[in-house]
Amino acid sequence: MQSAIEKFKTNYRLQRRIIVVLFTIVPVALLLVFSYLPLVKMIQYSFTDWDGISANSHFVGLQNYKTVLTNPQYIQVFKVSLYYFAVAILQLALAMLLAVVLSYKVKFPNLWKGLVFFPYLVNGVAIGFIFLYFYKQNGTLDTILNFFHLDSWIKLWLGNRSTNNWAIAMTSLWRYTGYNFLLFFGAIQSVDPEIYEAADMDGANKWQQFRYIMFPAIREIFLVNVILSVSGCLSAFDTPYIMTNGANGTSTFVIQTINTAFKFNKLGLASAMAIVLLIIIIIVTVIQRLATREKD
Amino acid sequence: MDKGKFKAALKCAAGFAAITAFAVGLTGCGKSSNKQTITFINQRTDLKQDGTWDKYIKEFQKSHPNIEVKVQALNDYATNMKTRMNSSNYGDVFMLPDSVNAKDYSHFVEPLGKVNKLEKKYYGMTAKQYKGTVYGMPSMINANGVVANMEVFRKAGYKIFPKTPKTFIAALKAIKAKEKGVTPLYTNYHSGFALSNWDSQTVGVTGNPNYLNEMMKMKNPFAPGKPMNSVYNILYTACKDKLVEGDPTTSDWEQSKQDMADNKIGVMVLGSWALEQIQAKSKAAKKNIQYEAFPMTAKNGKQYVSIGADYSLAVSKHSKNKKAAKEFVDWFVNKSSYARDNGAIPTLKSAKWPAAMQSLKAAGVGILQNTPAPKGEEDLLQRVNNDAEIGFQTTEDYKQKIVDAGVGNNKESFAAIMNEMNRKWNKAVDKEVK
Repeated sequence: MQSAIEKFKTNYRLQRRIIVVLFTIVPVALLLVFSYLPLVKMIQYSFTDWDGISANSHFVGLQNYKTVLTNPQYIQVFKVSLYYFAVAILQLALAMLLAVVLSYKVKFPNLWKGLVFFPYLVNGVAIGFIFLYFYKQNGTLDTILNFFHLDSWIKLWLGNRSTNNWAIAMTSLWRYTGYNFLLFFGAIQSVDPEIYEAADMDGANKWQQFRYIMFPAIREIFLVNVILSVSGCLSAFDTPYIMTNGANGTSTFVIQTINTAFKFNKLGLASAMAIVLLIIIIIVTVIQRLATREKD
Repeated sequence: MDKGKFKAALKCAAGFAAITAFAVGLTGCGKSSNKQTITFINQRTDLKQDGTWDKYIKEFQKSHPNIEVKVQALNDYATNMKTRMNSSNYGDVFMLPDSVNAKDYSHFVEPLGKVNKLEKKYYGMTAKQYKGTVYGMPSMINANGVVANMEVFRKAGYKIFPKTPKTFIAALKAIKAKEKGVTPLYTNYHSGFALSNWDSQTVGVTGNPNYLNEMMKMKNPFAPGKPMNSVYNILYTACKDKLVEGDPTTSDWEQSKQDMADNKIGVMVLGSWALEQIQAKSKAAKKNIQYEAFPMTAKNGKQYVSIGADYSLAVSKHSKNKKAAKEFVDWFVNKSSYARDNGAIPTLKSAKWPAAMQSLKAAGVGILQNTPAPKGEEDLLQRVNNDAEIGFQTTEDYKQKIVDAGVGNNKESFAAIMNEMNRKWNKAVDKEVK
């Protein structure tokens, strides 16, 4: 017995293992209970016609998946994601520009960084309300346009079908640019400043420095950002849900899923929709991973 | 301190401890044998916050001193309660969510009596019944009509509220022309739930208490000439003629109540539960804001308003204190001032109606209650409705489409929207009605 304890005291590998297990057991348990178990349950529900409350439900096989994939009503909402995607490209460009500019010498760098990142810290519900008042009739935007005598430009920003999706997508640009910026900025900071110094001495201008030093360094992060944006576009939810409730052609796939589950009590079908979205996002991610690997 | 004194003190302390323990034991015993605790879960978070529930419970305990009631109020009640009901822990008394199918009532809640016996004494006994057994007692009864600011209508030259779609639209136009800054009809598009009140007019405008039971088997219930087509057409026409708020997409429910009290809104289509909330906003509102029948007249030339249950109280199947829980439900429906405080019609038939509703009766408006669904078809309307995904009486989606089409936010025609609703409804009827 004594020797076993002695052995344990000196066996650092065993100790490390125990510590690793003890430290990971809590997060792993949380992950299993709150992420994987619901996922397994959701897959199970997606093969039934359960209404979310009834004590009994029937196995319907692949019927729910067939409905989701063949009924245009469920798939066409992905069109709305295109607005978000178009704006996401703008958002990445803007975030990268800001990151590059702020990585050079500027006055008050921390103030600018703070200002750019701040919107990301604001709660999504609050942002929804801020922009609801911003876009509403005689709201902030209309007041600004009036001030500049641009009254003729005024529209029902959230009502008019030609502007409402753009208006909501621009809200997510305001919200997420700071986050993309931070990832870019971190990657740029990881480049050894001596390399820039050397490039300076060799006579490289700022654009060349960006093109040949900075961009290659942040390419990985750039792809991560693209993946995040694409999956974010496909699963856009809280901003449109608060601002328009998905009315008048602003419904996204997730809003539709929520409505199917809780307004029309088709939890089985809604689970199938959620699984379809999950599979689409996995496919997008895999394609992007493959594309990057080939380049390397 | 010498040893002897210390011992004595110790003895004294021990004795004292023993006596207290005995006393505590006694009271403890008394508690467990008489006092019962029940949990009451509901949707009124506002009453929880302002302490109103505590007042009701205090009142209840005057006659039932041995029943302790813990109140839990949930946000987003229907969704959260649905999730909770998948466990066995959903309180002793709770508001039965509408998403529970009638055939599942007995799985979740206790039977409270027979319809044919209880309906002599109470309103709304058909709301939560299955095969003639009642599973939920309405907390209060709502009328389905419109809330009107009669001061606004008077100024436009209308002393009495219009009774037909034509005069209604004409009145809205007169309000718009004569009163600057007044919104004739406020849709409350953004708040969602408000728009579903247009669907609740069905029974009232037909004057047929059995209409919903017919509608659930009917083909093309939204076709021209059918009552729902006429109801929706009023909404569409009002939007097309710009008689509604300028930007419905960003309408504001809380603000609309204040605006209506301040004579800035003519009419809103809402259940009678809204009346008290709007009247409370200003002194003048108490007189000006009235409850009226929907501006349509049934075939026999009379106007009707249908009344129906608000959330119904039910007793959980898993409750350990079913007797106490049933006593609470009984007190709530028969003795509490809940319905009166909310300006609603009490569930108890013999109780006094609120003044606003009495004037409606006095004006010759008929009051209708839905006929119960035929045995075995208690769920049919809900099933057809869910299957069609139209959200008739439950969601706002299609009413929002009608508003958008009217205002010009989308290019769909009114006829096209009605056709789409018909198509979906017919498909669901084909599937569900055997």
